Order: sequence, then structure tokens, then C-alpha cells
Amino acid sequence: MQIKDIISPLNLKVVTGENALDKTIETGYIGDLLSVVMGKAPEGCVWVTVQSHINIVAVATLADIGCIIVSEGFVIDDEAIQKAVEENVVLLSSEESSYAIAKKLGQLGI
Amino acid sequence: MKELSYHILDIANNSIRANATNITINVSEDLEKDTLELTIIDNGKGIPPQILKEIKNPFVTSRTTRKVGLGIPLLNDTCQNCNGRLKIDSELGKGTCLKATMELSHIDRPPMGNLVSTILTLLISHETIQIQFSYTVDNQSFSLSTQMLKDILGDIPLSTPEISQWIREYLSENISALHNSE
Repeated sequence: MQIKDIISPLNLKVVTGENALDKTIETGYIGDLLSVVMGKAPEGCVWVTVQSHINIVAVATLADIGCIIVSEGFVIDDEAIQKAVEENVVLLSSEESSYAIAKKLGQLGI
Repeated sequence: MKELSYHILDIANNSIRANATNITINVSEDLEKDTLELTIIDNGKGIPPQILKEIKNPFVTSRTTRKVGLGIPLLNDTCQNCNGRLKIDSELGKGTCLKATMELSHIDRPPMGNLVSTILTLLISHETIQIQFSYTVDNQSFSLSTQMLKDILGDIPLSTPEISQWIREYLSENISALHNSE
């Protein structure tokens, strides 16, 4: 599945990485404690988190995460958005809870 | 609490509830030692020893048994997750000193958040409380206090829109200057 295939079913807002939405995503990961995410998130996954500051971009880059969904409608810091543009990290956002997002991802076969 | 400024507001509100008339808030970054330290000192009524002993335990946190909420246990978790610690000293009738340290560059360290609004809110909503704020980055420091503002402004309330706007800009410029001179 490609990132673009989850955008409309989950009603996600594309914050950055519009040109990288054809990246393949195979699995998902949920976590808010970044040191844990860093060690545990599988490569190429869609990562759902409530964190919204610049460190999420660093984690995504270092752990080769496919894309980030910031849940619960949290506003992503400008600094994080800027860095995500520089690093070409796909940042998506949703008003829903991480759990609701995960359920929908599961239904889509992720 | 996703940002450290929320913790600062929470702790300062504890001080206010403890009837403090003097609150000192210091944020200190040491780039060489890689530490971030938040210090909040008040002259409130202090925390009884038996409560102080259990203050980091979230299960004794109901407001009927003590005056602080979940803020302290959460801040304690944050410090520990970031290779730091939370130290609270208190003496009944004298006041409380809280010191939270964490590794500055730790991946789990929450961002500072909107410190300017936090300090401004404290200054203008509690004009009868003497608030001293300082921010230190290595050996450079910036400070602002209720007294300094009152000395300049006399009887003009700090909540006057032009004044609070000026304080906001003053805080914001000086804090970013500390970070730009590195």
C-alpha cells in the first residue's frame, strides 16, 4: 500500500511531503515516547503519535519511518514542519485518536 | 503535559495556591554539561513532611488529601525519562524549592513550548505576587521581575494591553537573544 491510499479513507491532512506520497507502507506503529519508537518502530511503517515537535522528524529520519500521523488534532510545531520539508518526511495529521486511526489502518489491511 | 512551559505554569500555580507572595522561576541551560534545569522557589506555606514523602506517587494525589494535582508525578516521570531527577525541598511556614533537571539533548525531553505566554500570564494575572523570572544559557542570563516592572511603571496595571504587549515582546526578544548568541 502507498501513503496516498490511506489519505482519504482516514481523512488525513497532508502537512508535508506531498511529492513523496507514493512511498510504500507495510505496517504501523504507535508510540509517544520517542526513545522507544526509535528502537521499536519497523522500517517503512506509518507511525501514529500525539507528539508534534521537531524530534519526531529526527526519529522518522533515523528509524526510516515511512510517514508520521500526528493524532488528536495536535498542531505541529513550525520548526518540525520546516525540518520535515528539508528532510522530505511525510507529515500527516488527524483529529482522531491514535486508537481510532490504528483501527482504520487495520481495516485497510495495514 | 507535552511542553515544559505547562509544567512551569502548573508548579507556579501550586505556589500560588500555597499563598506564596514571592515566586522565583529560573530556566537554565548548560550546553557543555548538556543539562536543562527548572528551578521554582516560593515562600508559600510549605508541604507537610508526610505529604512531601509521597509527593511523587500518583496514587496519593487526590485533591482531598493534598493540594497538588498530578503535575508533580508527571514532571518526575519526564525528568527520569530524560536522565534527570526532580528534587523538592520544603519547610512548613517557609516555602518550597523545586528543582527539575533533565538532559538537554535527550530525545524524550519535551520542548519548552510557549514560555513567553506562561511567564506573561503569571505576571499579569497575579500582580500582588512578586515574581522573579530568569533564563540562563551557559553564562548569559536574562531576568525580569514584577518589582522591575512596577519600578518603571508605577501604578499602571501590567494587564494594560500596551504594557502586556510590551512585556511579551521584551521576554520573547531577550530569550531568543540568549539562544542566538551561542
